[in-house]
Amino acid sequence: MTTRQNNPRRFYLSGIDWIVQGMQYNCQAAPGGDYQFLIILHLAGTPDTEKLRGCLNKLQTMFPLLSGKLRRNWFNLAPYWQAPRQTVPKNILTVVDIHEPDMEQACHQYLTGFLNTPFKADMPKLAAMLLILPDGSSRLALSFDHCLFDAAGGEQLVTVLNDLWRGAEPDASDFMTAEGPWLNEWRHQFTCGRTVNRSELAIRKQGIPSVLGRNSGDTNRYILIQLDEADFAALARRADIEAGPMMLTPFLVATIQEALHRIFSRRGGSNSICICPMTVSLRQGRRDELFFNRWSIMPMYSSANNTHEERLKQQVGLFYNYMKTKLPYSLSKACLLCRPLPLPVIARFSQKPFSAGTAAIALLSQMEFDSATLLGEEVKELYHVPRIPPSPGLGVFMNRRGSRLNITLSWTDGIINDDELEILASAIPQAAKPT
Amino acid sequence: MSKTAEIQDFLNKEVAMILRLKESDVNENSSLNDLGINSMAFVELLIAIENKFGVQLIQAGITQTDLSSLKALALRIEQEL
Repeated sequence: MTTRQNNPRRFYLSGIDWIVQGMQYNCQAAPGGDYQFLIILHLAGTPDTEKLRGCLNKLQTMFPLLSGKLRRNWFNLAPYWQAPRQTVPKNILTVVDIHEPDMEQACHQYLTGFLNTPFKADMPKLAAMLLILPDGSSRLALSFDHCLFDAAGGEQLVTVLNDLWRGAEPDASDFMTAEGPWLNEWRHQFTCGRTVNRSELAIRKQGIPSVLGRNSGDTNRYILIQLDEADFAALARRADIEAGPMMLTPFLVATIQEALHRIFSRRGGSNSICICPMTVSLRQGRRDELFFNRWSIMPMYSSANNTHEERLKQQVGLFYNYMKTKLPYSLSKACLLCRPLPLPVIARFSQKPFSAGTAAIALLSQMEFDSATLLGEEVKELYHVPRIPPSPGLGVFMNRRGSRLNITLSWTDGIINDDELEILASAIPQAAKPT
Repeated sequence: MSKTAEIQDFLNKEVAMILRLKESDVNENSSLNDLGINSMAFVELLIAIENKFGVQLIQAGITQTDLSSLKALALRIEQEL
Protein backbone atom coordinates (compact mmCIF):
# COMPACT_ATOMS: atom_id res chain seq x y z
CA MET A 1 0.00 0.00 0.00
CA THR A 2 1.23 3.49 -0.82
CA THR A 3 1.02 6.20 1.79
CA ARG A 4 0.92 9.89 1.03
CA GLN A 5 3.59 12.01 2.66
CA ASN A 6 2.75 15.12 4.60
CA ASN A 7 6.10 16.76 3.95
CA PRO A 8 5.79 18.18 0.41
CA ARG A 9 9.52 18.86 0.18
CA ARG A 10 10.50 15.21 0.53
CA PHE A 11 9.84 12.92 -2.46
CA TYR A 12 10.78 9.28 -1.86
CA LEU A 13 12.30 7.51 -4.85
CA SER A 14 10.65 4.48 -6.39
CA GLY A 15 12.72 1.36 -7.16
CA ILE A 16 13.16 2.45 -10.79
CA ASP A 17 14.27 5.92 -9.63
CA TRP A 18 16.96 4.26 -7.53
CA ILE A 19 18.12 2.20 -10.54
CA VAL A 20 18.27 5.46 -12.53
CA GLN A 21 20.45 6.94 -9.78
CA GLY A 22 22.76 3.95 -10.35
CA MET A 23 22.89 4.72 -14.08
CA GLN A 24 23.63 8.34 -13.23
CA TYR A 25 26.53 7.17 -11.03
CA ASN A 26 27.90 5.11 -13.95
CA CYS A 27 27.62 8.07 -16.33
CA GLN A 28 29.44 10.33 -13.88
CA ALA A 29 32.19 7.74 -13.43
CA ALA A 30 32.96 8.01 -17.19
CA PRO A 31 34.01 11.26 -18.88
CA GLY A 32 31.13 13.26 -20.35
CA GLY A 33 27.79 14.31 -18.96
CA ASP A 34 25.18 13.09 -16.53
CA TYR A 35 22.44 10.58 -17.29
CA GLN A 36 20.33 13.14 -19.07
CA PHE A 37 18.26 13.51 -22.21
CA LEU A 38 17.31 16.27 -24.59
CA ILE A 39 13.93 17.07 -26.09
CA ILE A 40 14.62 18.98 -29.29
CA LEU A 41 11.94 21.02 -31.01
CA HIS A 42 12.22 22.50 -34.48
CA LEU A 43 10.26 25.75 -34.51
CA ALA A 44 9.13 27.60 -37.63
CA GLY A 45 10.05 30.99 -36.09
CA THR A 46 12.15 32.36 -33.24
CA PRO A 47 10.47 33.05 -29.90
CA ASP A 48 11.22 36.18 -27.83
CA THR A 49 14.29 35.13 -25.84
CA GLU A 50 13.61 37.37 -22.83
CA LYS A 51 10.04 36.12 -22.53
CA LEU A 52 11.36 32.54 -22.78
CA ARG A 53 13.93 33.27 -20.05
CA GLY A 54 11.11 34.64 -17.88
CA CYS A 55 9.05 31.47 -18.38
CA LEU A 56 12.05 29.28 -17.50
CA ASN A 57 12.54 31.35 -14.32
CA LYS A 58 8.86 30.83 -13.45
CA LEU A 59 9.31 27.07 -13.92
CA GLN A 60 12.16 27.08 -11.38
CA THR A 61 10.07 29.00 -8.85
CA MET A 62 7.04 26.85 -9.51
CA PHE A 63 8.95 23.57 -9.12
CA PRO A 64 11.63 23.82 -6.37
CA LEU A 65 12.22 20.09 -7.02
CA LEU A 66 14.34 21.21 -10.00
CA SER A 67 16.90 22.62 -7.56
CA GLY A 68 16.67 19.69 -5.14
CA LYS A 69 19.21 17.11 -4.00
CA LEU A 70 19.33 13.37 -3.31
CA ARG A 71 19.14 12.49 0.38
CA ARG A 72 18.65 9.31 2.44
CA ASN A 73 16.52 8.72 5.47
CA TRP A 74 19.02 8.14 8.32
CA PHE A 75 16.76 5.53 9.94
CA ASN A 76 15.61 3.26 7.09
CA LEU A 77 18.05 4.40 4.34
CA ALA A 78 15.16 5.08 1.94
CA PRO A 79 16.44 7.58 -0.65
CA TYR A 80 14.44 10.69 -1.38
CA TRP A 81 14.65 13.91 -3.34
CA GLN A 82 14.73 16.96 -1.11
CA ALA A 83 13.34 20.18 -2.54
CA PRO A 84 14.80 23.41 -1.09
CA ARG A 85 12.64 25.77 0.98
CA GLN A 86 13.19 28.65 -1.40
CA THR A 87 14.40 28.87 -4.96
CA VAL A 88 16.22 31.77 -6.53
CA PRO A 89 15.84 31.37 -10.31
CA LYS A 90 19.07 30.95 -12.26
CA ASN A 91 19.72 31.71 -15.90
CA ILE A 92 19.41 28.31 -17.55
CA LEU A 93 18.96 29.51 -21.15
CA THR A 94 21.83 29.64 -23.65
CA VAL A 95 21.08 31.47 -26.90
CA VAL A 96 23.25 30.82 -29.96
CA ASP A 97 23.04 32.58 -33.33
CA ILE A 98 24.03 30.18 -36.07
CA HIS A 99 26.00 31.84 -38.88
CA GLU A 100 27.77 28.80 -40.34
CA PRO A 101 26.87 27.97 -43.99
CA ASP A 102 26.02 24.37 -43.08
CA MET A 103 23.23 25.09 -40.60
CA GLU A 104 22.33 21.46 -39.93
CA GLN A 105 25.91 20.47 -39.17
CA ALA A 106 26.36 23.49 -36.89
CA CYS A 107 23.12 22.71 -35.02
CA HIS A 108 24.17 19.08 -34.61
CA GLN A 109 27.51 20.13 -33.12
CA TYR A 110 25.94 22.51 -30.63
CA LEU A 111 23.30 19.98 -29.63
CA THR A 112 25.88 17.18 -29.22
CA GLY A 113 27.86 19.51 -26.97
CA PHE A 114 24.71 20.31 -25.01
CA LEU A 115 23.91 16.60 -24.62
CA ASN A 116 27.35 16.09 -23.09
CA THR A 117 27.26 19.03 -20.71
CA PRO A 118 26.62 17.87 -17.15
CA PHE A 119 24.44 19.91 -14.81
CA LYS A 120 26.49 22.10 -12.48
CA ALA A 121 26.12 21.34 -8.77
CA ASP A 122 24.55 24.70 -7.91
CA MET A 123 22.25 24.84 -10.97
CA PRO A 124 18.75 23.39 -11.52
CA LYS A 125 18.37 19.97 -13.15
CA LEU A 126 16.98 21.58 -16.27
CA ALA A 127 18.77 23.57 -18.97
CA ALA A 128 17.69 25.12 -22.26
CA MET A 129 19.48 26.03 -25.48
CA LEU A 130 17.94 28.11 -28.26
CA LEU A 131 19.64 27.95 -31.63
CA ILE A 132 18.59 30.79 -33.96
CA LEU A 133 19.05 29.93 -37.63
CA PRO A 134 19.69 32.44 -40.43
CA ASP A 135 16.37 31.55 -42.14
CA GLY A 136 14.41 32.80 -39.11
CA SER A 137 13.57 29.36 -37.75
CA SER A 138 14.96 28.06 -34.48
CA ARG A 139 15.72 24.90 -32.50
CA LEU A 140 14.86 24.73 -28.83
CA ALA A 141 16.59 22.00 -26.84
CA LEU A 142 15.69 21.28 -23.23
CA SER A 143 18.06 19.11 -21.20
CA PHE A 144 16.40 16.98 -18.50
CA ASP A 145 18.05 15.09 -15.67
CA HIS A 146 16.78 11.50 -15.93
CA CYS A 147 16.83 11.28 -12.13
CA LEU A 148 13.91 13.74 -12.12
CA PHE A 149 12.18 13.14 -15.44
CA ASP A 150 11.38 10.35 -17.85
CA ALA A 151 10.69 11.05 -21.52
CA ALA A 152 6.93 11.49 -21.11
CA GLY A 153 7.49 13.67 -18.03
CA GLY A 154 9.84 15.83 -20.09
CA GLU A 155 7.09 16.33 -22.67
CA GLN A 156 4.66 17.18 -19.87
CA LEU A 157 7.06 19.90 -18.69
CA VAL A 158 7.19 21.31 -22.25
CA THR A 159 3.39 21.56 -22.05
CA VAL A 160 3.65 23.47 -18.75
CA LEU A 161 6.26 25.79 -20.31
CA ASN A 162 3.86 26.45 -23.19
CA ASP A 163 1.04 27.19 -20.73
CA LEU A 164 3.25 29.70 -18.89
CA TRP A 165 4.10 31.37 -22.21
CA ARG A 166 0.38 31.73 -22.95
CA GLY A 167 -0.12 33.49 -19.60
CA ALA A 168 -1.72 30.64 -17.69
CA GLU A 169 -0.89 30.21 -14.01
CA PRO A 170 -0.94 26.46 -13.42
CA ASP A 171 -0.98 25.12 -9.87
CA ALA A 172 2.32 23.35 -9.14
CA SER A 173 0.68 20.88 -6.74
CA ASP A 174 -1.31 19.42 -9.67
CA PHE A 175 1.91 18.12 -11.18
CA MET A 176 3.68 16.45 -8.25
CA THR A 177 2.64 14.20 -5.42
CA ALA A 178 4.93 13.04 -2.63
CA GLU A 179 4.50 9.30 -2.05
CA GLY A 180 6.20 6.50 -0.17
CA PRO A 181 8.42 5.51 1.47
CA TRP A 182 6.79 2.14 0.66
CA LEU A 183 7.94 0.43 3.86
CA ASN A 184 4.73 -1.52 4.43
CA GLU A 185 4.56 -3.89 1.45
CA TRP A 186 7.55 -6.18 1.95
CA ARG A 187 5.68 -9.42 1.22
CA HIS A 188 4.34 -8.01 -2.05
CA GLN A 189 7.82 -6.79 -3.02
CA PHE A 190 9.33 -10.24 -2.37
CA THR A 191 6.55 -11.89 -4.42
CA CYS A 192 7.34 -9.51 -7.28
CA GLY A 193 11.04 -10.30 -6.81
CA ARG A 194 10.27 -13.98 -7.35
CA THR A 195 8.59 -13.22 -10.70
CA VAL A 196 11.63 -11.20 -11.76
CA ASN A 197 14.02 -13.91 -10.64
CA ARG A 198 12.15 -16.55 -12.67
CA SER A 199 12.35 -14.39 -15.79
CA GLU A 200 16.06 -13.80 -15.28
CA LEU A 201 16.70 -17.54 -14.92
CA ALA A 202 14.70 -18.21 -18.11
CA ILE A 203 16.88 -15.73 -20.01
CA ARG A 204 20.11 -17.21 -18.67
CA LYS A 205 19.09 -20.57 -20.13
CA GLN A 206 19.03 -18.99 -23.62
CA GLY A 207 22.80 -18.40 -23.77
CA ILE A 208 25.44 -15.76 -23.20
CA PRO A 209 24.28 -12.31 -24.28
CA SER A 210 26.38 -10.43 -26.81
CA VAL A 211 27.69 -7.06 -25.72
CA LEU A 212 29.17 -4.39 -27.95
CA GLY A 213 32.30 -4.01 -25.84
CA ARG A 214 34.19 -1.18 -24.31
CA ASN A 215 33.82 2.40 -25.42
CA SER A 216 36.31 5.22 -25.26
CA GLY A 217 33.80 7.00 -23.04
CA ASP A 218 34.53 10.51 -24.23
CA THR A 219 31.31 11.66 -25.80
CA ASN A 220 27.76 10.52 -26.37
CA ARG A 221 26.76 10.96 -30.01
CA TYR A 222 23.48 10.67 -31.85
CA ILE A 223 21.85 10.62 -35.24
CA LEU A 224 18.21 11.20 -36.09
CA ILE A 225 16.32 9.04 -38.58
CA GLN A 226 12.86 10.21 -39.61
CA LEU A 227 10.06 8.23 -41.20
CA ASP A 228 7.49 10.42 -42.90
CA GLU A 229 3.77 9.66 -42.92
CA ALA A 230 3.92 7.40 -46.00
CA ASP A 231 6.95 5.41 -44.80
CA PHE A 232 5.53 5.01 -41.30
CA ALA A 233 2.21 3.82 -42.71
CA ALA A 234 4.06 1.29 -44.90
CA LEU A 235 6.05 0.09 -41.87
CA ALA A 236 2.87 -0.32 -39.80
CA ARG A 237 1.21 -2.26 -42.66
CA ARG A 238 4.16 -4.62 -42.90
CA ALA A 239 4.16 -5.10 -39.11
CA ASP A 240 0.44 -5.91 -39.27
CA ILE A 241 0.97 -8.54 -41.95
CA GLU A 242 4.13 -10.16 -40.60
CA ALA A 243 3.86 -9.82 -36.80
CA GLY A 244 0.09 -9.55 -36.47
CA PRO A 245 -2.31 -6.66 -36.05
CA MET A 246 -1.22 -3.94 -33.61
CA MET A 247 2.16 -5.62 -33.17
CA LEU A 248 4.29 -2.70 -34.32
CA THR A 249 6.39 -2.66 -31.13
CA PRO A 250 7.54 -6.32 -31.36
CA PHE A 251 8.16 -5.79 -35.10
CA LEU A 252 10.42 -2.79 -34.41
CA VAL A 253 12.29 -4.70 -31.69
CA ALA A 254 12.82 -7.66 -34.05
CA THR A 255 14.08 -5.33 -36.79
CA ILE A 256 16.63 -3.72 -34.45
CA GLN A 257 17.73 -7.13 -33.16
CA GLU A 258 18.30 -8.40 -36.69
CA ALA A 259 20.59 -5.43 -37.36
CA LEU A 260 22.46 -6.12 -34.10
CA HIS A 261 22.90 -9.79 -35.04
CA ARG A 262 24.31 -8.70 -38.44
CA ILE A 263 26.79 -6.44 -36.63
CA PHE A 264 27.96 -9.25 -34.34
CA SER A 265 28.15 -11.62 -37.29
CA ARG A 266 30.49 -9.16 -39.09
CA ARG A 267 32.64 -8.94 -35.98
CA GLY A 268 33.00 -12.71 -36.18
CA GLY A 269 32.28 -13.31 -32.51
CA SER A 270 30.42 -16.27 -31.07
CA ASN A 271 27.12 -14.47 -31.04
CA SER A 272 24.41 -16.40 -29.27
CA ILE A 273 21.69 -14.03 -28.07
CA CYS A 274 21.00 -10.32 -28.05
CA ILE A 275 19.19 -8.87 -25.07
CA CYS A 276 17.51 -5.53 -25.63
CA PRO A 277 15.96 -4.09 -22.49
CA MET A 278 12.90 -2.26 -23.74
CA THR A 279 11.39 0.41 -21.56
CA VAL A 280 7.63 0.35 -21.17
CA SER A 281 5.48 3.05 -19.63
CA LEU A 282 3.71 2.42 -16.31
CA ARG A 283 1.96 5.79 -16.39
CA GLN A 284 -1.61 5.97 -15.23
CA GLY A 285 -2.36 9.07 -17.31
CA ARG A 286 -2.53 11.36 -14.28
CA ARG A 287 -1.39 14.98 -14.32
CA ASP A 288 0.78 14.53 -11.24
CA GLU A 289 3.12 12.12 -13.03
CA LEU A 290 5.37 14.90 -14.34
CA PHE A 291 8.34 14.16 -12.08
CA PHE A 292 10.42 11.01 -11.61
CA ASN A 293 10.52 7.75 -13.55
CA ARG A 294 7.35 5.87 -14.33
CA TRP A 295 8.57 3.08 -16.56
CA SER A 296 9.89 -0.42 -16.32
CA ILE A 297 11.72 -2.90 -18.51
CA MET A 298 10.96 -5.89 -20.68
CA PRO A 299 14.12 -7.84 -21.51
CA MET A 300 13.52 -8.70 -25.19
CA TYR A 301 15.97 -11.34 -26.39
CA SER A 302 16.51 -13.23 -29.62
CA SER A 303 18.86 -15.89 -30.90
CA ALA A 304 21.23 -15.30 -33.82
CA ASN A 305 20.08 -18.52 -35.45
CA ASN A 306 16.42 -17.55 -35.70
CA THR A 307 14.81 -16.81 -39.05
CA HIS A 308 12.92 -13.55 -39.52
CA GLU A 309 9.57 -15.30 -38.95
CA GLU A 310 10.83 -17.11 -35.87
CA ARG A 311 12.19 -13.90 -34.41
CA LEU A 312 8.92 -12.05 -34.97
CA LYS A 313 6.97 -14.87 -33.37
CA GLN A 314 9.36 -14.93 -30.44
CA GLN A 315 9.12 -11.17 -29.84
CA VAL A 316 5.31 -11.23 -29.98
CA GLY A 317 5.34 -14.19 -27.55
CA LEU A 318 7.75 -12.47 -25.16
CA PHE A 319 5.74 -9.25 -25.27
CA TYR A 320 2.53 -11.13 -24.51
CA ASN A 321 4.00 -13.30 -21.77
CA TYR A 322 5.77 -10.45 -20.01
CA MET A 323 2.49 -8.54 -19.92
CA LYS A 324 0.60 -11.62 -18.75
CA THR A 325 3.02 -12.32 -15.90
CA LYS A 326 3.12 -8.57 -15.12
CA LEU A 327 6.90 -8.58 -15.31
CA PRO A 328 7.27 -4.79 -15.86
CA TYR A 329 5.15 -4.05 -12.79
CA SER A 330 6.90 -6.77 -10.76
CA LEU A 331 10.32 -5.38 -11.70
CA SER A 332 9.37 -1.88 -10.63
CA LYS A 333 8.12 -3.19 -7.28
CA ALA A 334 11.00 -5.62 -6.74
CA CYS A 335 13.53 -2.81 -7.27
CA LEU A 336 12.17 -1.20 -4.10
CA LEU A 337 13.98 -3.96 -2.22
CA CYS A 338 17.29 -2.54 -3.50
CA ARG A 339 16.89 0.89 -1.95
CA PRO A 340 18.77 0.16 1.29
CA LEU A 341 21.85 -0.70 -0.85
CA PRO A 342 24.65 1.85 -1.31
CA LEU A 343 24.68 3.71 -4.63
CA PRO A 344 27.96 2.09 -5.91
CA VAL A 345 26.34 -1.34 -5.47
CA ILE A 346 23.23 -0.19 -7.33
CA ALA A 347 25.50 1.20 -10.06
CA ARG A 348 26.95 -2.29 -10.56
CA PHE A 349 23.50 -3.86 -10.41
CA SER A 350 22.23 -1.53 -13.14
CA GLN A 351 24.93 -2.88 -15.50
CA LYS A 352 23.72 -6.48 -15.28
CA PRO A 353 22.65 -8.02 -18.59
CA PHE A 354 19.06 -8.20 -17.46
CA SER A 355 18.90 -4.45 -17.17
CA ALA A 356 21.70 -3.30 -19.50
CA GLY A 357 22.11 -5.92 -22.23
CA THR A 358 23.18 -5.36 -25.84
CA ALA A 359 21.30 -2.17 -26.65
CA ALA A 360 18.50 -0.30 -24.96
CA ILE A 361 15.23 0.29 -26.82
CA ALA A 362 12.44 2.73 -26.01
CA LEU A 363 9.28 3.66 -27.89
CA LEU A 364 7.13 6.60 -26.84
CA SER A 365 3.93 5.86 -28.71
CA GLN A 366 1.81 8.55 -27.07
CA MET A 367 2.54 12.27 -27.32
CA GLU A 368 2.39 14.08 -23.97
CA PHE A 369 3.13 17.36 -25.74
CA ASP A 370 0.68 17.41 -28.63
CA SER A 371 0.26 21.13 -29.24
CA ALA A 372 0.85 22.38 -32.80
CA THR A 373 2.62 25.47 -31.44
CA LEU A 374 5.22 26.14 -28.77
CA LEU A 375 6.10 29.62 -27.50
CA GLY A 376 3.84 31.02 -30.21
CA GLU A 377 5.73 29.30 -33.03
CA GLU A 378 4.67 26.32 -35.14
CA VAL A 379 6.30 23.06 -34.04
CA LYS A 380 7.83 21.42 -37.10
CA GLU A 381 9.36 18.49 -35.26
CA LEU A 382 9.93 17.05 -31.78
CA TYR A 383 12.33 14.27 -30.87
CA HIS A 384 14.20 12.87 -27.89
CA VAL A 385 17.94 12.33 -27.57
CA PRO A 386 18.89 10.21 -24.56
CA ARG A 387 22.41 9.98 -23.19
CA ILE A 388 23.20 6.27 -22.87
CA PRO A 389 25.11 4.97 -19.83
CA PRO A 390 28.53 3.35 -20.55
CA SER A 391 26.81 -0.03 -20.34
CA PRO A 392 25.21 -0.88 -22.76
CA GLY A 393 26.51 2.24 -24.54
CA LEU A 394 23.96 2.06 -27.36
CA GLY A 395 20.30 2.97 -27.43
CA VAL A 396 17.46 3.31 -29.90
CA PHE A 397 14.77 5.78 -28.89
CA MET A 398 11.61 6.10 -30.99
CA ASN A 399 8.82 8.61 -30.60
CA ARG A 400 5.67 9.11 -32.62
CA ARG A 401 4.89 12.63 -33.68
CA GLY A 402 1.49 12.71 -35.34
CA SER A 403 1.63 10.21 -38.19
CA ARG A 404 5.43 10.22 -38.32
CA LEU A 405 8.10 8.23 -36.49
CA ASN A 406 11.36 9.69 -35.20
CA ILE A 407 14.19 7.31 -34.37
CA THR A 408 17.26 8.48 -32.47
CA LEU A 409 20.35 6.30 -32.33
CA SER A 410 22.48 7.31 -29.38
CA TRP A 411 25.85 5.78 -28.50
CA THR A 412 29.08 6.40 -26.63
CA ASP A 413 32.22 6.97 -28.63
CA GLY A 414 34.03 3.90 -29.86
CA ILE A 415 31.32 1.34 -29.17
CA ILE A 416 30.25 1.04 -32.79
CA ASN A 417 32.05 1.94 -36.03
CA ASP A 418 30.65 3.84 -39.02
CA ASP A 419 29.82 0.72 -41.07
CA GLU A 420 28.01 -0.86 -38.13
CA LEU A 421 26.16 2.35 -37.48
CA GLU A 422 24.97 2.36 -41.09
CA ILE A 423 23.59 -1.18 -40.66
CA LEU A 424 21.63 -0.08 -37.62
CA ALA A 425 20.55 3.27 -39.05
CA SER A 426 19.19 1.75 -42.25
CA ALA A 427 17.39 -1.17 -40.61
CA ILE A 428 14.03 0.48 -39.86
CA PRO A 429 13.85 2.68 -43.01
CA GLN A 430 14.57 -0.46 -45.09
CA ALA A 431 11.82 -2.34 -43.28
CA ALA A 432 9.42 0.38 -44.44
CA LYS A 433 10.26 -0.28 -48.10
CA PRO A 434 8.31 -2.90 -50.09
CA THR A 435 10.04 -6.29 -50.02
CA MET B 1 -28.30 -10.86 -21.72
CA SER B 2 -27.15 -12.83 -24.80
CA LYS B 3 -23.57 -14.07 -25.04
CA THR B 4 -22.78 -11.53 -27.79
CA ALA B 5 -24.18 -8.70 -25.71
CA GLU B 6 -22.21 -9.87 -22.69
CA ILE B 7 -18.98 -9.95 -24.71
CA GLN B 8 -19.77 -6.56 -26.24
CA ASP B 9 -20.41 -5.02 -22.83
CA PHE B 10 -17.16 -6.47 -21.48
CA LEU B 11 -15.17 -5.14 -24.45
CA ASN B 12 -16.63 -1.64 -24.19
CA LYS B 13 -15.80 -1.43 -20.47
CA GLU B 14 -12.34 -2.97 -20.83
CA VAL B 15 -11.30 -0.77 -23.77
CA ALA B 16 -12.52 2.34 -21.97
CA MET B 17 -10.54 1.36 -18.88
CA ILE B 18 -7.32 0.50 -20.74
CA LEU B 19 -7.41 3.63 -22.90
CA ARG B 20 -8.66 5.80 -20.01
CA LEU B 21 -11.72 6.90 -21.95
CA LYS B 22 -15.28 7.46 -20.82
CA GLU B 23 -17.48 4.43 -21.42
CA SER B 24 -19.77 6.67 -23.43
CA ASP B 25 -16.89 7.30 -25.88
CA VAL B 26 -16.71 3.60 -26.73
CA ASN B 27 -19.39 1.67 -28.61
CA GLU B 28 -19.73 -1.41 -30.79
CA ASN B 29 -18.81 0.52 -33.92
CA SER B 30 -15.59 1.93 -32.45
CA SER B 31 -12.43 0.83 -34.22
CA LEU B 32 -9.40 0.14 -32.02
CA ASN B 33 -7.21 2.06 -34.47
CA ASP B 34 -9.44 5.13 -34.28
CA LEU B 35 -9.46 4.96 -30.49
CA GLY B 36 -5.66 5.24 -30.59
CA ILE B 37 -4.69 1.85 -29.19
CA ASN B 38 -1.00 0.87 -29.27
CA SER B 39 0.74 -2.52 -29.02
CA MET B 40 0.93 -2.49 -25.23
CA ALA B 41 -2.69 -1.51 -24.70
CA PHE B 42 -3.77 -4.07 -27.29
CA VAL B 43 -1.91 -6.85 -25.49
CA GLU B 44 -3.53 -5.72 -22.23
CA LEU B 45 -6.90 -6.17 -23.94
CA LEU B 46 -5.97 -9.61 -25.31
CA ILE B 47 -4.92 -10.73 -21.82
CA ALA B 48 -8.17 -9.44 -20.32
CA ILE B 49 -10.09 -11.42 -22.99
CA GLU B 50 -8.07 -14.54 -22.22
CA ASN B 51 -8.67 -14.17 -18.48
CA LYS B 52 -12.42 -13.64 -18.92
CA PHE B 53 -13.30 -16.07 -21.73
CA GLY B 54 -10.25 -18.38 -21.92
CA VAL B 55 -9.69 -17.45 -25.57
CA GLN B 56 -6.14 -16.88 -26.79
CA LEU B 57 -6.78 -14.67 -29.81
CA ILE B 58 -3.11 -14.28 -30.61
CA GLN B 59 -2.79 -18.05 -31.05
CA ALA B 60 -6.07 -18.19 -32.96
CA GLY B 61 -4.65 -15.88 -35.64
CA ILE B 62 -6.52 -12.64 -35.10
CA THR B 63 -6.66 -10.43 -38.20
CA GLN B 64 -7.08 -6.73 -38.94
CA THR B 65 -10.67 -7.46 -40.05
CA ASP B 66 -11.46 -8.72 -36.53
CA LEU B 67 -10.34 -5.35 -35.22
CA SER B 68 -12.33 -3.21 -37.64
CA SER B 69 -14.86 -2.60 -34.85
CA LEU B 70 -15.52 -3.84 -31.33
CA LYS B 71 -18.58 -5.62 -32.73
CA ALA B 72 -16.36 -7.57 -35.13
CA LEU B 73 -14.03 -8.42 -32.25
CA ALA B 74 -16.96 -9.60 -30.11
CA LEU B 75 -18.14 -11.87 -32.95
CA ARG B 76 -14.64 -13.31 -33.32
CA ILE B 77 -14.46 -14.06 -29.60
CA GLU B 78 -17.87 -15.74 -29.75
CA GLN B 79 -16.67 -17.89 -32.66
CA GLU B 80 -13.70 -19.06 -30.60
CA LEU B 81 -15.78 -19.98 -27.54
